[in-house]
Amino acid sequence: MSAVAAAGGRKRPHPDWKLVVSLAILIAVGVMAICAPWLAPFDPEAQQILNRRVPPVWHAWLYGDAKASLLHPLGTDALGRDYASRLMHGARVPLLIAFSALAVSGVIGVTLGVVAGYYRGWVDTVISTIIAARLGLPIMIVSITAVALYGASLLTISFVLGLLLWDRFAVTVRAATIQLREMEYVEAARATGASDSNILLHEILPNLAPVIAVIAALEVGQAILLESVLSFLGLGVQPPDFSWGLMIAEAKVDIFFDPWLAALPGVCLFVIVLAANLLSEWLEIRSMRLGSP
Amino acid sequence: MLETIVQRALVALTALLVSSAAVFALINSAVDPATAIAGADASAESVEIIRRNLGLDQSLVVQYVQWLGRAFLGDFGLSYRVNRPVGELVMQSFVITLTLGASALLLGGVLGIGLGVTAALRRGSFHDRAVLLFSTIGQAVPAFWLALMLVVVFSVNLRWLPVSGYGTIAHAVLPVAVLCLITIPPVIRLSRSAMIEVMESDYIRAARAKGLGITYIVLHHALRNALGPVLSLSAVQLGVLLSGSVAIETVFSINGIGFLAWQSVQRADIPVIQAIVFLLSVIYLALIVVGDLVNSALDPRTRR
Repeated sequence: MSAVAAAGGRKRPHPDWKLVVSLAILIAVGVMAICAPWLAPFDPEAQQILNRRVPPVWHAWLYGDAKASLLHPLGTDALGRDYASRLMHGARVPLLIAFSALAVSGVIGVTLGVVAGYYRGWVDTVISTIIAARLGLPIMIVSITAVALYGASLLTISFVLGLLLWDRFAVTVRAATIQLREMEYVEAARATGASDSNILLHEILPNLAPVIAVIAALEVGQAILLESVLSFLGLGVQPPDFSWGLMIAEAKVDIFFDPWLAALPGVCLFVIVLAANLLSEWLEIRSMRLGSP
Repeated sequence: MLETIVQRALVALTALLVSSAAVFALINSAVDPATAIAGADASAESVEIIRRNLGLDQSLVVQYVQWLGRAFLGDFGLSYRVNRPVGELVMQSFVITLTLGASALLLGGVLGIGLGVTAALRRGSFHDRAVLLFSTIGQAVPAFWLALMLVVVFSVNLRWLPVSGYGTIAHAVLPVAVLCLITIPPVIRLSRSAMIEVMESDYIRAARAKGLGITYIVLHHALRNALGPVLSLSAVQLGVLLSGSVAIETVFSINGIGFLAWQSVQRADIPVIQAIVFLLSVIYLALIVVGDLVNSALDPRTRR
């Protein structure tokens, strides 16, 4: 890791550490979210009035706090609900929304990008204007407006985020398609009389996969962050459903005395978004090494 | 050059029309403005009277064109919530958000470019890797949560800074710090990669072959060419800062444009929401155009 080694001996950390770290985190969080009903030690809704605001177990180790114990390793919240169980269940909504939003935005963005990049001309002008119109919309304000007006359900939030997050797909895929359409194998396919749709589906789209994967990983992280802001503002899923963002909002009133209540869900958010970004970075380096557009 | 300007401006203007029409349709298909003005327990007749008096019985297209015409003259109507002109309400809070956003952009831009450029000059070094790690981490931190944690550390535990509010420098430190951390990572990334590209170009090699000092080359040749893309990014970043301030302004109880948007959304104050979205779209699209133009003025190669 030292500067000398890096400059002289080219000894660097293995390039795949980003892949290993991000996959480990994503799989762990994914399993935790999907299996939360079976893995969580307590019912996330079960309130214990006598066991409220039990601090996490390290308060016992660090400060000798008698209330903290391994029974509730991450403590309990203001209503006496086991915080570890809530954190596990709280991962479900953000992940579900992020992947649904990704599906919507991926389809819109890739379609627009491929069509604009392949046909160019007036089609490109129209689509580029649509992209500019999307960029002009302030995501946060439009999404709180839409969610407030249409009701905060899983479906609306996923659709609203999906309809607002496709721009990066469109911009990147368009640029990559412009490069790809000049490739010799595309020329060859055209010369053999392949139709446009055939070329798009069989020559262009498969070669766009690396670019799409880079953006997809990045956008999952963005969607998770946006969902958390919506929930934090009280415009995300409504109780009894909950997510990490809503847990931070609930913990905000206790921030003066029990800041760890707000800290823990934020750490979870940070870790999963970090994993998504690292995966995106690894995919980007890999596609550059393979010489993709 | 003039042709480029006109072309870019036309695209931006069309985009503005498309986006404002989309938001107009989005809002009006979900809420009935007449009911929103009259209140939930108003009688059907009074709702009808309001609808007729305000011209809300006309088709949506007519209403949109009328709204747009007045919007270009700076008239956004009256707020449903407080009986004041929307333009006045929005500008008042916009000044606050702009002050915070511009300070954060200035500070974050300088820091980000500094870190990115020095990392590029010593590529692969410990410094370079630390800067990249910082930007990776910075991109993953939820900003509103970071704001809360900074309040815990600096306001609650250390008691150095006020918890919330706006007005003095001390009040602005934490919000600007958080906004700054949103700005820095993308600036680092772009200035680093732009600088690496420039330093590997032929004219820099030529300058080095002539025996010019590295500091002279960086200051007189490389920076000028590397900073073009960074400047256009900064323009876009200002737009991001202005529109992304909702949660942060809520945490710090700052009466900025994001906080106003949040309040207006909760009370279905349609004219205010439309005005905010319109204003932010105008600024964002204008910044993109200006960024492009600055970029092409600095770097003749990007002129088409």
